[in-house]
Amino acid sequence: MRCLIRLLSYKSKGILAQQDREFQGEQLTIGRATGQDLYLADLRVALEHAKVTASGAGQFLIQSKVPSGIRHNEELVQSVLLAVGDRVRIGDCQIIVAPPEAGYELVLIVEQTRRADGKAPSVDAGSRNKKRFRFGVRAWSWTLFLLIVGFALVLPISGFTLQPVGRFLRTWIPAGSDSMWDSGTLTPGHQYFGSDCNTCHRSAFTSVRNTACLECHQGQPHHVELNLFNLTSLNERRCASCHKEHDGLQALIPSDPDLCLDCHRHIKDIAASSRSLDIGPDFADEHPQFRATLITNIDGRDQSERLSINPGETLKERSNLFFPHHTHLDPRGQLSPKGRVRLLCASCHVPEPGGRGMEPVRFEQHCHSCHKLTFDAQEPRREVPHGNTRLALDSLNVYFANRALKGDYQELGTPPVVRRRPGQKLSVPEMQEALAWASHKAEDVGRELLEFRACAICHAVQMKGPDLSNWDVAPVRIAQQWYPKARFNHARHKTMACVDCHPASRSESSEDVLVEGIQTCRECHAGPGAKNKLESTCISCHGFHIAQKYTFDGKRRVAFAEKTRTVRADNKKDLK
Amino acid sequence: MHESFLAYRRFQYLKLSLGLILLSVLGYALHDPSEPPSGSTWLGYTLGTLGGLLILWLLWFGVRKRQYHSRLGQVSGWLSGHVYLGSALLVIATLHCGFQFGWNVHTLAYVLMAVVIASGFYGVFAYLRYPTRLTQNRGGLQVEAMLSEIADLDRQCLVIADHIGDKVHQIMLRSIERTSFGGSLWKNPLPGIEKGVEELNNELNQSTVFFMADQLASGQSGARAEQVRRLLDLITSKKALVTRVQEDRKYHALMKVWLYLHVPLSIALLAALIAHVISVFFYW
Repeated sequence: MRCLIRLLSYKSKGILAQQDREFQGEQLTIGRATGQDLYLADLRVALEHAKVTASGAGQFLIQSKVPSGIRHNEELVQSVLLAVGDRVRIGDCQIIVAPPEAGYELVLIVEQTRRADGKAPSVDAGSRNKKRFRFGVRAWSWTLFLLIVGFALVLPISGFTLQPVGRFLRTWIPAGSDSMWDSGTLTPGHQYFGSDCNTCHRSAFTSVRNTACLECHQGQPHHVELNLFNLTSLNERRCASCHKEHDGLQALIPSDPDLCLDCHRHIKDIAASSRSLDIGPDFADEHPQFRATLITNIDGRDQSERLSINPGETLKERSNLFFPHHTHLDPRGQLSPKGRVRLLCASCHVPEPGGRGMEPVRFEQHCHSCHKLTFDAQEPRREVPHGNTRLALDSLNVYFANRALKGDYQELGTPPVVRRRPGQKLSVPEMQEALAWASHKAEDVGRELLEFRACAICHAVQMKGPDLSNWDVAPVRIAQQWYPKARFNHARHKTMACVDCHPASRSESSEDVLVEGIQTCRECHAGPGAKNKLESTCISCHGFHIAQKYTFDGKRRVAFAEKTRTVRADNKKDLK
Repeated sequence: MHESFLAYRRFQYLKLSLGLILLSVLGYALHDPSEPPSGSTWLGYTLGTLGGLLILWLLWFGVRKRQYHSRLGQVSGWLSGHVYLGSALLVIATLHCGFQFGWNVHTLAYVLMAVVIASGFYGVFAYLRYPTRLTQNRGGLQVEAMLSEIADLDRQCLVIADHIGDKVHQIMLRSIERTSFGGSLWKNPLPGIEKGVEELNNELNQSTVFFMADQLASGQSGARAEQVRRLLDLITSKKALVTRVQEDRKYHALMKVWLYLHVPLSIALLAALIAHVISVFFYW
């Protein structure tokens, strides 16, 4: 091989000396011994330290002949193939492989790193001369910073700006989508659209608007009737200011009394015309006495009133019904067509399918088995229909006319034409006589039913003047709920006995309002933070969205409007 | 009299930090929101703002300690505050989130903060423990001085070894090559140090020492035995010095390694904090 050795040495005052030498031979020996092709004087070089040989195809191999090896690009090796630019260090001398030139196969630049003062450099100086690439603190910091800003901020915001990008991110890179921002799982009812944040969050840096909520919760009732109370503080309220998502059901449906008491502590300050009473947070002693809604008759006019139920005092309502509870609940039982029957509350009061309220008591189901509407001993099973006075009187007319024309009506004092044998033909005057009897009879029986029997047993009857056609059964006005402003659930009070709240067994009149006041509820219920009692807040009994005519977005409620129309139509039909 | 940064101005920052913790815990205990406690109650926003400002201030320590001409308090005071207020941050941030965690950027910020604080605790431990040991280990000698002494010893060894023979010289060369302090120490400092010390021990105790002992036992001529004895003495001195240098580097490594976690993660925390705050108000 033909090799050029270029010796560089630093003289005093930093002057660089260069000396070129040519070498030709099989192997280039490097060492401290005399006779080495490349003589290195440093003590850290062995006598015969290394050799360079050609290994074909223009490549050269450097091999260490001693166990301490050589440093090739700062790596300790025993042998290595040389490439242009390589640095080999033996002792204090550095050999750089330069590009081949002027017919030399190998050009080695040999550089003495010995200092000018003659002292050897420190042992570790050589290992510091090349700074390696390190992923340092700064690089780590920047990488993490950019990664987090990219994934947690830039990507989600771009997904918000460009919807297709948002959809792509949510499907394929959730860690870079706005789901990273989700501060907590949605409540079960909202989870079906939970993956699309923009169902609710529609514009950036803006809190969720009511329009987003009302898209699904269409027709959600307002708190008040807007025609009566048009309160800005309520109308401008955001749904989300009370109903907070991402924080469990307790935050979605808050039960904090303060939300209500903001207004209801001094309600007159907010709505001067309100008939609500001021209230405090503690049910145990700051809730006013309950007021029952009932029909009273003042100055001959029936009207609805809300009256306080004070302990020891029984309110009277005008129900137009005569029904003494204590007689019906007599423990000895009642005489009935089927024998003696003992009635219980549940014999007449049946819970609604949901169990919250009670089904209305119906004559046909609950009264009729004892209270028969019979009217004629000749036909003891025949009854007048219930529920409509006109129909009942008509049915009497039809019945007696039929009997009169048929004949064979065997009652004392009845004219012969009516008592005649059946099948006997009647002349026109006889027919008229029979029908006249029938008409009288029907009116007598009708009058008797309305005034003394059947109807009058239970109902108040309005007997306007002598003409029977003007008589009628007074409309029954039993309150379906005495406390319509509260949401009492019978099913959740199953452990109580009926009489615990409804003192029916002592009641002699159906006018009695058979419901207890607040003191009975307070035996078990108390306000927030109560010990040994059931903690009850406003929404335990009261709803917020209770307006009947208006929805939360200020529109007239459809359901209510339709209902009003139907009722009006029914009334018109009745009048006809 | 030297005052530890922990005791700076009679534990001024410890008191401040305990005060903050007490206030936050009291506030949290007395606060009774209508919803479960979280960052979105008024207390949550208050603690969040406080925590966020604390994080920014704690991060500013990295800037302040490099500003040698700053007159904004002593760095030791800043460090004292950094340690104590950083510890208080753990409580404040936990109460801010109302113990609500999830797979989201908010908890990411929390976890990063917790790791940064935990690594900081190790840092305090290291700064209290190792400087004393470092000083004891150095015994008044600078590392540079030790290194140049080692180089000198190496040189003397090589001179003697060269006199003894080529093979001894070669072994000495190998020994020197092996005990050089590489720049790879930082790659994996702890096992690297262990390995370095182990290799050094092996090399010095087994091959070199045994070889020398063999030479002694084989009854060489008096002058040569004397040379070998001198060489052994030199190696023993060198071993002691190398051990001290290695110890020095180990202590330095132990005092620095936690910063590789503390600093990048605190910058990552800054990113997560920015994302946390912006995202919360972006989807308000």
